[in-house]
Amino acid sequence: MRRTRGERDVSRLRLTLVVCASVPFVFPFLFMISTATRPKQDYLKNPTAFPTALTKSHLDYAWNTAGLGRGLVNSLIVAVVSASVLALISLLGAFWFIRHAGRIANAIFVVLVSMWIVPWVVWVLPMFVGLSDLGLSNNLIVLGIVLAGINAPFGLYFVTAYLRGGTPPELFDAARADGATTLQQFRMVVLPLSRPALGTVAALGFVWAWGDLFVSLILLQDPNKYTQTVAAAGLASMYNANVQETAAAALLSMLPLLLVFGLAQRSIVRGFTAGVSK
Amino acid sequence: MSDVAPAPTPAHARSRRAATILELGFLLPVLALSVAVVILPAAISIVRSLYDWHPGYESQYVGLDNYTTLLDDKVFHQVVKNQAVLLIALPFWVVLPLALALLLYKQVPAPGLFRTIFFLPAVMSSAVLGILFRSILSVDGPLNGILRTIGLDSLTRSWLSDPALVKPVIIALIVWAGLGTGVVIFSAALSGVDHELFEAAEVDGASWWQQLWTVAIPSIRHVVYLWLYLGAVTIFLFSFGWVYVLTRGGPGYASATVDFDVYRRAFGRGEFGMAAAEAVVLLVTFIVVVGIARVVRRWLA
Repeated sequence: MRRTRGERDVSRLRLTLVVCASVPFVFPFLFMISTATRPKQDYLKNPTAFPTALTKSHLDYAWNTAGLGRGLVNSLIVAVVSASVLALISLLGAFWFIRHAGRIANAIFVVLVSMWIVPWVVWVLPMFVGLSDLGLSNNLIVLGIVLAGINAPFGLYFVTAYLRGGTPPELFDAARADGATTLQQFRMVVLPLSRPALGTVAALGFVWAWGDLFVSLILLQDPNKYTQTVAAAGLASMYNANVQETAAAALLSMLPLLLVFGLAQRSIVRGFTAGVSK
Repeated sequence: MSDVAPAPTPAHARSRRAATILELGFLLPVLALSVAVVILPAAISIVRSLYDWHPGYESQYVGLDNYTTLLDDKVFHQVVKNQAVLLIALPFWVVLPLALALLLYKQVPAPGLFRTIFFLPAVMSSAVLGILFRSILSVDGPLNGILRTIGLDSLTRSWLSDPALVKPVIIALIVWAGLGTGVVIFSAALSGVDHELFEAAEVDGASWWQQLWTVAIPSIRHVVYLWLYLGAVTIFLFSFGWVYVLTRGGPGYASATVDFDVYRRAFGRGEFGMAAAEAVVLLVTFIVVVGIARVVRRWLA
């Protein structure tokens, strides 16, 4: 395509704008990495200059003394439980809702899906009191299941919408005509079809459970059970918090997410853009 | 359901009933968990907001006392004001990602790379990002360091402990963290808009800014509403992570939001009844705001 000089200038201006806009998205993470991995003297000389030496002492401190190591393992348990439970209950529920389109079924669906606008603070106090009474408050599995319940409105909506858009009802009729039982229809028709949607729900369920601070902070009192967010927040908000140790804690808690993001970026973006291109 | 209906026999009816019960087993997990985690506890909160609630002890019924005390409470007034000020984020929350999505849509090299860069904070939690920004914004942190390096010493501030600055800082961070999701959502929406609309506007000599307002926004109006709505939800319901990590509501109560204040009242001061009342006020306010937004939207359409 031939372009005039003016057009070239405009497109260069566009690129410049976008590059400038991306600076605040790159710099904080570069700062975090360099601050977490350089010796103290090197940092004090000029915090924003490129590091001239490396150390893993801050990472050691965050991992061992501040409990990030244990926190990461605990968070992994919570996030894996939460993602699996969320994907499972969303799929089972969606299967029911695509086969039942009556007025009552629709009403139940609307109620379940609209639960996401109920502010967390509305249910969190009785939840805390109830789980403490049952002796379940320091339990990572229970925390994972609770977080799955909170994210269920999204999961149910997403998988149901996906299946409604992608499964012609005749498919079930055909399966039934072949003599397939409900369970067989579930296993042979819905499960394979919904795999991409389940990937999205599981990835987001993992990300959200991994990053939770509010519910974890309230349900976990035993430091041995702290998730990485609770441990890192504790380290960061100490009166004499050290910038480099804090950066190391932030780095440790973000690394696993970067891995998940790298593996599941497509699924995650699909989840966020649900309902946009209708 | 398009079941073929053969002559009903008792055995058939029984097997159908068994099948229906088996099918309810699919609905049960998500229904039971939603009731146990959200619906039942929310109902308990509403009831308990009428009590001088002390978990583990006898709680006395006090009628609307918690609500009247709350409405006279200075901290509550401050918190409501803070929450209202945070809504200033909304115009930026919409316009910045929309402008960037439009820039990326109109042929910038490697738009996917930029989208990923903007999107990165969306997968991080506000709590962990807050930890990072606690360092960046600290008095001897890199933001002030950079300002000093480029000779703008007069602009250095104690960003998180100045009552006049702390809300703008949190607004900026909320906009920053949501920007990438907005770009991704608007990019998806714009990709469904007819290219020719933009070309026609360009032929008519419309500037980039005019194209934003006359072509882009009207053609993806429903997505703009959706994003605005998500912004309100984020500000009303999900600012706890930022506030807890960055400021603990301080200095004073200058950055305390409703969700943080409920947490503080219940777990800092043991005022569970008051905390429940405050949570119910948030719920009612939010339902009213959503209702008004719906009416206004229908009225505009």
